[in-house]
Amino acid sequence: MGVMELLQIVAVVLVIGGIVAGVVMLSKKEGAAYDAVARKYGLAFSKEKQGTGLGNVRQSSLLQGAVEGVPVKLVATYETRGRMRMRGTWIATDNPTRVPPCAINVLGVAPKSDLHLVRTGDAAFDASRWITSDTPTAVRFLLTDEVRARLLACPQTEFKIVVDGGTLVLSFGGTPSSLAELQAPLDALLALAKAARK
Amino acid sequence: MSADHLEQLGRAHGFSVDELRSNLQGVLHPAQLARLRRRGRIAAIVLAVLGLACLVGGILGADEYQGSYMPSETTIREATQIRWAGVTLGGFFLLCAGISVYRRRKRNARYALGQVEVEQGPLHKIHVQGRGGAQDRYRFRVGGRAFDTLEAGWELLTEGAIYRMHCAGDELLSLIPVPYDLAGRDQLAREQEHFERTRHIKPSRLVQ
Repeated sequence: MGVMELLQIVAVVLVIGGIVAGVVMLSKKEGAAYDAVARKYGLAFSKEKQGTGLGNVRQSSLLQGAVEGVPVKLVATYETRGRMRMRGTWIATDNPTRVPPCAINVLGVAPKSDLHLVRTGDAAFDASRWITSDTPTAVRFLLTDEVRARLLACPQTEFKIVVDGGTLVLSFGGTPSSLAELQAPLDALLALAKAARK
Repeated sequence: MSADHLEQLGRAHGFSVDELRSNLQGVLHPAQLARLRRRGRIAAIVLAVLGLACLVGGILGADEYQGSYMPSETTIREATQIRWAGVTLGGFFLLCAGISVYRRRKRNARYALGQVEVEQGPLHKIHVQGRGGAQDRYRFRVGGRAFDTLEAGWELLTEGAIYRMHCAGDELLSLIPVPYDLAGRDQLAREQEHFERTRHIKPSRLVQ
């Protein structure tokens, strides 16, 4: 075996090792973020996996418990369906004051139509986020000063807030991979729960 | 919020405000009826023409291939194969044309009743990113029905908002956001009515 061949093998091994190490580090970083948030808020952290690598897979990271008496459940899911890959996260709490069912979209870009556009009156918020909803009264009720500030602090720019029957849900595309991506939306949901309990 | 939005929505989803007004009254607009009746006609014609071409081409082609004076056994066998291929292919296309005509007649009989089916509820937008050179898909769903649309039409819809969708069979006729009122009443009254009508609950303290 010549020196060049040996160098090629070493290079291949290094590249594969680097990729594996990167995946492991990313996984550990994600796990560390969930652990940190679970410790901070007193929530239980668990993982679920359905399916084998051969077919469709559904992997979920769950945080569950109560924060200052507010029940919270966070589910971040990675799912494969055929050639499709889906990542999504939702955080749910209850709706004890029976806020009427509504759907509120928080967008990072202006919508193409202003039919359902709702301005909050908060110049700082309205400059960088756009709200669409067919229930503007619910928007004004739920998006309090604190909720708007929490939403602005989130690294994610797009959210969906849905109140349906006894549940209030904040959801967004993607799964959190850092502490900020996990903690900021959770804080936003807690602020929403506070607003709904007014 | 104005009639402009409805026109914009109509342009993007293929209906006019007049057609929408007819659908809101539960009937098909004559233009929609004509459009629906036209659907599938070209496919049936193309299939029938293809079927006849294969049939005639196969039979005449086989005769031509065989020739008229002392053909060899191989030539006769090949000519028979050409004939059968033409008949089989032609028969298949003609069968498809027949099925298409039958379906059209059945659909048209239903359309002639002028009935409009209604779906009402929260609208869900679905965007599937195309991979490997495939085009992106833009879909929306209200109740049990989902339709594909173009990005421009998809962008005009609001996720989670309540829409009323008018359909005939598997065709979308028109759609309208429910709180939108052609008479133009004030927002609060519409919202209050919207809460009561669509969700079957009394308005809470949000709507005084």
